[in-house]
Amino acid sequence: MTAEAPPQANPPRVPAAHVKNPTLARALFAMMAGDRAVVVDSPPGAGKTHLITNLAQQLHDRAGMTVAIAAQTRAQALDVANRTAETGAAVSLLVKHKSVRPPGLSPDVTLVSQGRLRPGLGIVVATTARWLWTPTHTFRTDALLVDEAYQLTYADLGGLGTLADQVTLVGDPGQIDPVVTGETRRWDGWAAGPHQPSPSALLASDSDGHVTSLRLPKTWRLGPATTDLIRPLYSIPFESARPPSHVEDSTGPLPEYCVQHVTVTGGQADPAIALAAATRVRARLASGSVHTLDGARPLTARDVAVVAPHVEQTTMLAAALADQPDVFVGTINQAQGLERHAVVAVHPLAGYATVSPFATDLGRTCVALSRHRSHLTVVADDRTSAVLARTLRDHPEDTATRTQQHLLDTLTNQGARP
Amino acid sequence: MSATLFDLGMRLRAAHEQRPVARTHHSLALPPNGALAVMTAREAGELTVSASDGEREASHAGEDALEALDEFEVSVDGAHRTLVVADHGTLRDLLSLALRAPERPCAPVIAWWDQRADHPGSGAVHMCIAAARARFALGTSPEAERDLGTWLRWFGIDDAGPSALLQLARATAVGPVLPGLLDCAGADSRSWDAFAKRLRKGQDWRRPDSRTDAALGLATRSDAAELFDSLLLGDPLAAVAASFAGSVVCGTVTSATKGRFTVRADRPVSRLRPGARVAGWEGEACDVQDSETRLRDGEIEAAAMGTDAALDIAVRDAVFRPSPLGVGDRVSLRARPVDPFQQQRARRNLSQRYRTAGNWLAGRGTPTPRRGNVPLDVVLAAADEA
Amino acid sequence: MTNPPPTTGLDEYTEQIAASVGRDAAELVTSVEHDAAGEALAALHAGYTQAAAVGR
Repeated sequence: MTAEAPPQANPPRVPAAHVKNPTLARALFAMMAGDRAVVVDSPPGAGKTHLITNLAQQLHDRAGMTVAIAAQTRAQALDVANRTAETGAAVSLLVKHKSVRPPGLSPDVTLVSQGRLRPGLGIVVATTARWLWTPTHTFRTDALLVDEAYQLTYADLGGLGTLADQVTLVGDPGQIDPVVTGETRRWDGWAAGPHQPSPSALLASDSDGHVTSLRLPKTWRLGPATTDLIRPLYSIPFESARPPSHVEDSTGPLPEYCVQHVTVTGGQADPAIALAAATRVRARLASGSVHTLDGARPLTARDVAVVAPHVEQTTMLAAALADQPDVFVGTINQAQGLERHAVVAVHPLAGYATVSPFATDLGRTCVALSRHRSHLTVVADDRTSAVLARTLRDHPEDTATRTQQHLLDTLTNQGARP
Repeated sequence: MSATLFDLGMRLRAAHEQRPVARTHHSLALPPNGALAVMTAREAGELTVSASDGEREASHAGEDALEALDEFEVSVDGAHRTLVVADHGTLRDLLSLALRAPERPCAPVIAWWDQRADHPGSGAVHMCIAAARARFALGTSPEAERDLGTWLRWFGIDDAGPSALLQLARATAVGPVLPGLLDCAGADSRSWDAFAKRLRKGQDWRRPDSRTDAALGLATRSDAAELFDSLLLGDPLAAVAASFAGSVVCGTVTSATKGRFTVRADRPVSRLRPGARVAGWEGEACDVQDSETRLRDGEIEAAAMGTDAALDIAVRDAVFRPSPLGVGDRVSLRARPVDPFQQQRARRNLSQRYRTAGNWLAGRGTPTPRRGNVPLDVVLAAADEA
Repeated sequence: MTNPPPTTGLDEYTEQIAASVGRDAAELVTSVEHDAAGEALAALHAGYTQAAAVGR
């Protein structure tokens, strides 16, 4: 008779993040089973980074897979590396030169330089730009996970394809398209064009049904009213799962969003816009408090962001709020990925007497309307409604303008002005 | 807004002087030597193509419209020739004719011109209206500048046919050529040779782009656009205009230590963000060509607005030639110039990655199937309702 | 030159720009030759003076 081995005194704890997260579980299933590609669509604040970091950890620790994670900016790479380290996984950040350790990098993240990259390192995080320069014959992983995949062009995804056979793309389909400087008219109307966001292009090319399509179904950042507001901008359904959270001022609780109308005569650079937005920020800081399940506390500068579509507007805002350096001031493009309790957003059409494609871009508007956890004030031009109505009379087929009109109507009618 | 006002100032000047005013000191296009100008017109559903090389003109309509180009022996044999057209509309008309008559010698050349037209700085296609608008301002609204007739009137060109386009192209190309632009002409020659080679190997010019063609096509177009914009900042007049848009930042040095300096910007708008690699020169924006002290390299460490509404920019790892600037010196900053050789290396890198065997994401082959084991807890969790 | 070139649309465009910076169009046109104070008009003046006329 063979003696049985005694049970281990302390069996390794199996990570359990996937147990309560069916989307993570399905992505894990697909990758472990050997599926070629997985696309995970994520509305704002739905746990994208949580999914990617836990997916990486389990693929490595449980399935013994080597994993490369591609982020789109250095700041994103830093954040993903830090949060992957928090799962307990061994993770490295790939940089050009090891000599300078990026400020803010967790001490649990190992730095590795291009020259020292070797197979078997485990989980390696780098920007897409850095991965595209990794020699194709010296380094491959079992899995490639791409964060903010809707900011990556299909052309660049093809370049990353030498890294791994299996790929998971995670991103927000409602946000700003990848920045492309070259003329793309040659591929107009081609859903799998090189300039297209990589997840939608990959799905468009997938004639064999090899791409597993998943979605994160809940937003943990946005409240129910905001979720209803931006839902028309998405083709994927999602619900709010945010725990109760609101901002109060001296008059009482503030709604999830409201509109502050301002009369604008001087175009997009009219100081009245920045003044109205800055005044609102100061009002919030003076008497605001944040109320969550953890209790109530004063609203601080770190809880607040003010965003605007144009650099000239953010310049004026930065000047007006120079004594509050902890308040985030930036363009909507710069605010991608950002979250704050209270946000003041300059409406993309403020100062416009006629619409332009930049102003009506739905991705940019979506980012502006989805940064806040507890309260959003939109500073809007009191002419915008009439401008949109006039455009629609002349161009009833313009869907972006129609959606903008619907959004503004909802903001104005549903959001009570405090 | 400042950039728009600067532009309006130029238009008012043009109106007062009753002549076009230059937006750039340099020509942004090579003179159209040996070029062929083409116009298309549609009447009663039929297209007419007229072509001129400055000495003779040819015009044909309907099914044989492209005969106008064949008369000038436009074909892939021999050297490439610059096409001069008013705008993209003419190219679209020519391409539609070429697709209906693909066997004509000029048909593949039209396809090549159509590709090169997407590359700013290319000398293969001269788009008269766009080129004139980039080079000059007229005393009219921007809307009026989109009309060919407006330009012909302002330049006193009385001809009506395609030779008028040649005259406008010549008028647009006066002055010293923008430094770096000649290299773009080199790119045209390489593209032409590669195109002709593929045709000789039997490739059909009408074939839709493969994944690799498309990815590299986007790369060449993006690189051309970025290189052209970068070269433009080397022009004094363009640099001044850019200083009102924030892509050139002028100011005064407020502190200087080894490898680091700070600048108080004249205007609070800057597109140079922390982390950006920069270059620059001593003096004002218009001194870009003549300044003897240059910032070869640096990185924006911080850009902060003070309570006095002034923008202070800190630059580190600064490399000056021949010697660093000091407090009180005037300086102009811009994004580090684009290096066309670095762009070429990046394209070669991308091309190599696309041609790597097994890269299924690039459309090459299918991955080796891998069937792994899935732990039971994952199976169960995946089966849960969301 | 017998006929000056047409300044098509310039007046309306100037009015549009003037309105968007809260000024009068006539004020803009008369101030353009002077080095007026203020960021808005400084840009206008710079554009006017930087432009070098080109002979035909």
